[in-house]
Amino acid sequence: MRILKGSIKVKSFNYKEDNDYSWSMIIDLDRCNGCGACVIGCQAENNVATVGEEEVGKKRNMHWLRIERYIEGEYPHVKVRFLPMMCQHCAQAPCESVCPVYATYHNPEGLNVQVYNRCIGTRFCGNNCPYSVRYFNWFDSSFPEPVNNQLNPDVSVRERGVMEKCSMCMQRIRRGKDTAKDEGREVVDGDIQPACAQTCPTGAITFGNINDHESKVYKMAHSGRAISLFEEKGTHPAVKYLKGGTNDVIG
Amino acid sequence: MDRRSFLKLSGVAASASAVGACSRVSQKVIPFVETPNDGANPVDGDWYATTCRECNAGCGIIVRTVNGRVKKIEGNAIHPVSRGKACARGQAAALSVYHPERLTSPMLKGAGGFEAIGWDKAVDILSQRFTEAEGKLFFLNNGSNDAASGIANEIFGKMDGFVSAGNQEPGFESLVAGGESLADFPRIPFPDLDHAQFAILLGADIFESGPSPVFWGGAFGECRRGRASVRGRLVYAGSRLSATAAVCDLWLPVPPGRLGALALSVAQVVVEMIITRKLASSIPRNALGRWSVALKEYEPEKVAAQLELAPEHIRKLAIPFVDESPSVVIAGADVTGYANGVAALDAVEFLNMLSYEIGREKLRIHERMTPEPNDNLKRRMAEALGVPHEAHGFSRLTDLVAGMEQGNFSMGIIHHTNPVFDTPTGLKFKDAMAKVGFTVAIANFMDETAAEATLVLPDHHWLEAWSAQTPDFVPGVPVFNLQQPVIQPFFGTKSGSDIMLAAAAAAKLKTPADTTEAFVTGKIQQFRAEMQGAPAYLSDNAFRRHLLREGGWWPAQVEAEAAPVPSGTVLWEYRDKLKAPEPEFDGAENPFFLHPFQTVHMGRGQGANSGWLQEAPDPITTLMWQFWVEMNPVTAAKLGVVEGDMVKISSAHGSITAPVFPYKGIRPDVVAVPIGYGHTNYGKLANGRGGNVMTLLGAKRDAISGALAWRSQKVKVEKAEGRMKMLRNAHPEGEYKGEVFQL
Amino acid sequence: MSSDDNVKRSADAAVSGGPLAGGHHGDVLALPELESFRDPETKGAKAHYDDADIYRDEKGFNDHTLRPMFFTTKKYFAFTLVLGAIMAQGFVAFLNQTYWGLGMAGLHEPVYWGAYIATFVFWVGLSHSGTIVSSILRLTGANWRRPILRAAEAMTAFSLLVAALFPLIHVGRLWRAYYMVPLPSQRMLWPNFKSPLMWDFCAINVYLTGSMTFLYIGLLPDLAVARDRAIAMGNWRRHYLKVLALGWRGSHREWSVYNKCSLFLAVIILLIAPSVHTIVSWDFAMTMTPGWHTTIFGPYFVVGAIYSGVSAVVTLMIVLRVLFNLGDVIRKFHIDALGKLLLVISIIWSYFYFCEFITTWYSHKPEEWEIFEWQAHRFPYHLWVMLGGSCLTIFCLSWRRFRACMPCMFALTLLVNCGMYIERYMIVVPILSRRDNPFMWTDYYPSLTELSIIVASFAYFIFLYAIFIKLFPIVTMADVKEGVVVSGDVRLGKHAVRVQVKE
Repeated sequence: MRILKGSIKVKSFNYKEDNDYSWSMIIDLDRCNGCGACVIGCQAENNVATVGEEEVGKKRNMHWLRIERYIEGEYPHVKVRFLPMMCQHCAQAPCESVCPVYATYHNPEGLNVQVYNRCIGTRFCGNNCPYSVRYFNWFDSSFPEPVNNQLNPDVSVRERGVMEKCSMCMQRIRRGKDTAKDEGREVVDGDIQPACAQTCPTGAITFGNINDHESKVYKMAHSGRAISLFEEKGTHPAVKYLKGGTNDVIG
Repeated sequence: MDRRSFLKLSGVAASASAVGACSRVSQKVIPFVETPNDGANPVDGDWYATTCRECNAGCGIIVRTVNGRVKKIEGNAIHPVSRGKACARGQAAALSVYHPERLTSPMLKGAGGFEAIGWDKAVDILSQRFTEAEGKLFFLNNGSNDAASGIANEIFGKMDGFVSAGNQEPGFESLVAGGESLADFPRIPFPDLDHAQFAILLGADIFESGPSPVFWGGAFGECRRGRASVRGRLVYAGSRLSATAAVCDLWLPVPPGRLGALALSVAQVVVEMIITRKLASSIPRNALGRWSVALKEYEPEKVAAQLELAPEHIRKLAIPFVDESPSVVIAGADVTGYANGVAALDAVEFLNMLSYEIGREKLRIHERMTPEPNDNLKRRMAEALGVPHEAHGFSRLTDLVAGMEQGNFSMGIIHHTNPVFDTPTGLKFKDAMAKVGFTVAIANFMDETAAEATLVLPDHHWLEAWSAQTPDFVPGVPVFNLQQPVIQPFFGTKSGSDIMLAAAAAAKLKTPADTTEAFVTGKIQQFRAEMQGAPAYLSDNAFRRHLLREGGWWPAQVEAEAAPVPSGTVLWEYRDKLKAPEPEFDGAENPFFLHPFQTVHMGRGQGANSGWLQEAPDPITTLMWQFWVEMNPVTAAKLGVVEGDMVKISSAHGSITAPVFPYKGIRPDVVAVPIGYGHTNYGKLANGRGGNVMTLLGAKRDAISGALAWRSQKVKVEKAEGRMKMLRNAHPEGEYKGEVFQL
Repeated sequence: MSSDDNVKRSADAAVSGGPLAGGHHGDVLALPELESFRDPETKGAKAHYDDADIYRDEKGFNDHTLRPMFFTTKKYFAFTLVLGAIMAQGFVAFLNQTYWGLGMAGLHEPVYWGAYIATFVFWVGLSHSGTIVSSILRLTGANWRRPILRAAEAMTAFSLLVAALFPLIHVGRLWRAYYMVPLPSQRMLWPNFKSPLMWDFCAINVYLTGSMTFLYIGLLPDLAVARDRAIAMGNWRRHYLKVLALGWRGSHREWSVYNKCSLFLAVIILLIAPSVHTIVSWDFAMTMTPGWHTTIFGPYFVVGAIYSGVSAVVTLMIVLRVLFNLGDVIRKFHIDALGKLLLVISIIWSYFYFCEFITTWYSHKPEEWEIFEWQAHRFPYHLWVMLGGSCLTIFCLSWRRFRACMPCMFALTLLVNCGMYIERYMIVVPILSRRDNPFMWTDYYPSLTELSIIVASFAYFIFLYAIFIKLFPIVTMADVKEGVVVSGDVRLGKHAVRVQVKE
């Protein structure tokens, strides 16, 4: 009976009970203007490699964060939508269970973490990710002298044959927590900003601790506009989107 | 208990405990993964405040450096332009500092091309030329007011024959000229989008081109969802559904050059509404009556046909303009790009005035309404660091080229601008440059203009150099930006403005300071008394350090008080101005309107040598590393081309070939081509990537302001040989399946 | 083994003739004349085992079946050289890929698995030929199975060996692939047993071990024959044969243990084999990818595997028949019987196709139907080969004449396996290229590197087989002899009585 009980214990999706922090990101689709500042911000922060023209042609660009663009309707009733897409940090992550070597796992703060030096590159996680937000290092990334001077020392440069993806700027979370600890306090809302949220000119991206009921993300996640992508798949993402307003059409 | 039952019981107990123990033991034997230390111990590094110089917006930024290397650029949270944010181009500067193609030593053009020379020799040559020129020289930059142009002005400004000009982004000049009669001095009108509930964007690609995508992005965010209960609504009218238009709630595909008529038609409905509903008591009734008469010919029913809209569409703009006030109208490239642009801008100004009058809440609609003395201070600061806006326009550039042609100059200094590449062929800048005996290019990279120069001086990257700058257009308050080196110079470069000072001193000219740093310090002292809000009790040096820490100076209270109401007589003046002339086009016999546009990544071509920017997908097409021409699928079908087929676009001035990208969000009579591609001498990432749309343009100018009317060109489009694989991020079928996300 | 001479004397009969030995020592069975041979193909009569006059002469039979092993033509060397060259270029491509990175393959996001995995599944599928067929037939006591067992079992082992290479070729960091092995480590890091890939790793290893053992145990008596022959001939093969034959002498005890062991192994293998392919199918079915995530995948893959396996056995039989002149051992009758088996399996297989398509079509779930439409749009010819081939198989195999026509059977079974390869490709590639997120849809073309490696894998399989034929007896001699029913007239006093001899 003990065994049975143990196995049917339901995991809490946002780790409310067990941990102080449960990181979450809210993206307001009504604000996103597709400018791509976040893409470059992420690239600069996380040592994301540029792969060059030829590889891009094979669809091997590595941007951890991409802005998906969808078109609806026919001229002149055309609507273009932007959808920033990065690792959704699912509480029930499909990628985690299938990795044979635990290279990807869920950390206690609700983030889906990729351990580069554990990864052997079976790419099973990529196949099981409905959002297609995991990127594989097809070749060794090239940061030739003197471009390598820009590399962020907090983030490792990935070897060929390794999966990588958005880490919610783990190093920034770490730095934020360290600073808070040094100052003898809890992390306050807004202390920690991933590169994309930091740089988004329209303020479409908000990051915070959803366990803190006073935080912006908590309020936004309960605003009624909040949706998860592919909710029907039951992945319980930590990234939530705020639906855009209704749009007029002419005619 | 007998032996048998004892054994039975002990067996049961043993097996039960074994089962119980298994659950625990197995968890110990095969534990789930030990959570590794999440990331290394992060270093914080040093953060420096400075000013982004990738475009002229003047965003305040902070730069993270670790071990003396630039790592990351972020917005300066207290800066009124950037508001803590940064755009793609600004952030990519962290990479361009370490670009392997940076120029490292001065080069003098000899018989066999460029030869590297030492810095001493370069200064000698320059000082000798300064002496010989005797003031017959010009200084051309990218239209920003910064320390370099200030220094050039102070050294040569008093000499006869000196001309300072700016190769500014097209369009600004018209925006400045729009509604000029009301301005006490020319500036770009600055509608307060932050607090508007309804906004009409007339061809204003505010997120893609100047004056500041970052500033406008912030304003848009505030407008859209910054308030708890209000969702700002935006409507875009223009011939192409740009990234800016994509976030608007409605797109009206108005024919090129007709946005002025649309604005007036909206104004007509608004004026009628004001009259019938008895709104806006501050406007004299007789003025309203006269406007009503003057606007009669712009009734929606009368102009609907030429706008290719139904009259209801126009009312759909006008009615919320009153009902959902406060409302603003923002004009942009699709207004200023045509020869009737300034006339249309008058109508836009008029609408904004009306909005101000009927607004339930008062907006800071116009920069020109912000109270004294900031206006004066802003102008004086700009002039202390260069030249007034008038000098940065296309008119001045045209005059400069004419002067060059006539041999008025024996020398020219071209400072961080690439007119050979980014001015229209019709201007013939390259030919004129050849007529100037000695041209100096101060640049970071070899580019098309530097290649034509006699002497090339490798400048510091702006992250390595001292300067100061005033943002021209936003945010409507005086801002004095400081630019400081955040790292030691990485390559063997020297500051261009330092070299100018050194050469001028050697030529026995009067110099404002010994170094740029001293010049900037001098300017801080000059304005210190007027820098309100800054700690006045500090010593000079401490004050300077304070400003450096903050990134510059701006009024502490950016949200200025509501502006005084303009007098009825001023509004009255509009009576005669309200006209929407027919647009004129170059090459009117050609079937297609050429629609050159800026993308968020390339700027005017400066971004083309950055791997990050080239690989970042364009927001609309999602193309990477690639040049393209957008046309409506209907047009493409008529031409018999599909995606990736090459077409030849030609005008009287030249032709380019480009792969077709069919896009539903563009009028069928328009072909849109991005600016900034087709470099021939800008490094291996940029060269040969597509064509330069500027080679198709004549130098057609606005009828009133003389600004470059960069969209008033009609072109021929024909199918050409060849195909190209389109390097797109979005799948050509998948991009229509967005409904799976149920957004 | 005391000496070579000793062994030589006991020679073939004692060792191999287990069931027939019965005290007879010598090359010729001391039996009356056999009934004349009736060829079923020419006379249309029902085939019998008791009419093969090749069995009459055990030495002759051994000579005949061992000839491919001991006599090698120049053509053979030329052939293996060609195979070697193909393998070498594949190996170079593999080294190149390992050195530079997996980008050398045509894979990209989100088609993270491509031709490599399709080929892996194909080879694993092929491996279900031998052992499963042989164990089923062994257990059901189908007599006609006897000559084909070895060839089929060897095929299992070799296709598994080839299949096992593909996960290694496919991983991004080959040099870290040992993380899959549950080695105790300082940091208590174990493989993730929740991952279907881990199950797969275990299943393949178990199956490889099992089928190798099965092959080896079945080989024992024949190894002894070959050993004795090799020693008699002074052939170099005696060195390893002596070791591998484990001193088999054909004693009664040896035979009884051997028989028990075979039976036991057959049962075990019969349990392992379907589980292996079910687990391979779970690599796909356990994900939440539309098109993969379906309960039908387990049996679907198993039946598909047997289908392709049996076809491959037929192909191989015909090849062996022709190449090594084994027409009298592997007879048309066998092909006919296998054809019937294949007919049954192909009907089941088509039923699975039907189930898969009809459910998807009926429910018309957008994300799944999208994949089917894309398959039809992008791979129409592939689909024709795959589905048409399946229908054609049922149609053709229903005809006895077709089953009797060796070139026809050869072509058909090849077609079946082409279809099965395509089927695997269609499971892996189109489903990944039309995944949940429409923005990331793509198309996939295998790169030259992938093609070289895949072609090399086929060469490798054939090479292994070719080497095997030269090192081990390809025909299950002991089993065949066991099945031989010898009949003849035995004189009992004045009367001649017709008897049949069979153990």
